[in-house]
Amino acid sequence: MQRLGIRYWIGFLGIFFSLIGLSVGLFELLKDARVDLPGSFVNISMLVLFGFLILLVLRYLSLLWFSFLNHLDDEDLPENEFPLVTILVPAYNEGAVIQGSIESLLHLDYPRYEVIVIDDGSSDDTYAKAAVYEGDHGRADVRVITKPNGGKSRALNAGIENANGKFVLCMDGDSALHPATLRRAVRHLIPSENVAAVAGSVKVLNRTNMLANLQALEYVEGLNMVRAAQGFFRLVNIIPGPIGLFRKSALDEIGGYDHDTFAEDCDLTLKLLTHGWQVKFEPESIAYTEAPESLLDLLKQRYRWTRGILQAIKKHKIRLLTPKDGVGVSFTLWYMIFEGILWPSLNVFAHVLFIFVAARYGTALPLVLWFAQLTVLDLAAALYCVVVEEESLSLVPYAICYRAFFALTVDVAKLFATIEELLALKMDWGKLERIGRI
Amino acid sequence: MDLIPYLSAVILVSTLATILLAVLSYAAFKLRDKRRPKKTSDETPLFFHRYRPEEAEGPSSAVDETA
Repeated sequence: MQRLGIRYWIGFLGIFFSLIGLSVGLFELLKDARVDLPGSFVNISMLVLFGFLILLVLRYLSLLWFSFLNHLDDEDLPENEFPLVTILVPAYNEGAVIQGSIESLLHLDYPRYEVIVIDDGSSDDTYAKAAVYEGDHGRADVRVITKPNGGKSRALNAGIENANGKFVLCMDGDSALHPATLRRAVRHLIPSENVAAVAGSVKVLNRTNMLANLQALEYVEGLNMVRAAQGFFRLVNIIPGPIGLFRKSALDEIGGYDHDTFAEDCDLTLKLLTHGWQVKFEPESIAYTEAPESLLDLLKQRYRWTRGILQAIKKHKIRLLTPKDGVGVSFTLWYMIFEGILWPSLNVFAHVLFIFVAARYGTALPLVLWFAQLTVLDLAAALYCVVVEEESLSLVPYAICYRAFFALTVDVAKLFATIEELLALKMDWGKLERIGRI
Repeated sequence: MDLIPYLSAVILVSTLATILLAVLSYAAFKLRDKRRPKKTSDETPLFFHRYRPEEAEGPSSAVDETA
């Protein structure tokens, strides 16, 4: 708290005053605005869009507030209280990146840990490249096992069976960890026996083009901030694939990963929550991952995420209607429906409606005000998130085109993926091609 | 000079173009996915004979098999 406090307070005050300024400015603008709105359709449309705007601001404010509160939780452990941790690295055709990934694991700031690489029947040289590192590396002991191809969830389950650590860190074969990752995450699991897992912060490594930079901003603002807010309630709903630290006894209790959804990380998190466990978030446990550098690869990734999350919600749908078995879990599931289905649909709908109304009735002023205030809001939120996560300030300007271009494109893909999932159309994993920048 | 009409025109055109591009990109992604060669189940490893704990007699056999 003492180390991080000032930075977080500055960031928080920045966003707070930006929002106050924004509200006052908008009020002044709208007070004098003369907009002739012909017909009740336009009035209703404007009302809908205004409602969307209010919802958006409220969502932002709640997430920012609770993520700020989550950041205040900052206690360290004495040196002798760090138990053995097992790091699991499932890898399927990750030959381009597996060595960089293992290299990053040999230099973690943690007293003792083991690394288990699970080659999931790769047809490339993943196993050969990983096997080079097998053996004792001082604080880290590396083992490489291989199995017939069966998917990430089965590979992780094989790793969990072979793990000797009290805590298990699951990551992706294409990710690299920050040296402080284990030390920062373990401190959440030691004092509280009810906490089953800690979700880490994922950051984009390959910031080589505009699309990758927009994703870097999205990871900081759209994913990590949301997880931080959920972490305050100990109800993180998705422990990201690239980094999650688990209590092994909790994984044993719920039977490890299932392989009946395309978002095994989300499914596992929901299983933990529905079994009464808590899940926290640690912003300084960081995994660096390769983000898709082309639009089609990005859509492929988001398509799988969306359908996988919907499948996981469907699996646990009974808890939607039984809040008495745990209000937190019910709320989490409803929130996931809101974020996964309603919000993208509403976003696309609002844009289409605005275009129609503006083109048909020439409502230019509200259109400009709408985008201006959204942009200011996005810039303020991006600034806050970048400051608290000590990210590069060069990401902030991307907020100008983040909502209008990036988020809208992704939301259109989410909308289609949702429709396909509701129609139960067939899908497969669609593995992304790795560039090998790790 | 009143900037509002110009700004609104830019916003309109760019939003419309983004939605169109998003829909077209999604169609392109689906098309590419359909044309992707399907994975065969009898793929053999290109580089090494795999070490499988259940098949190996001792822990050191991995090195011998991959030579």
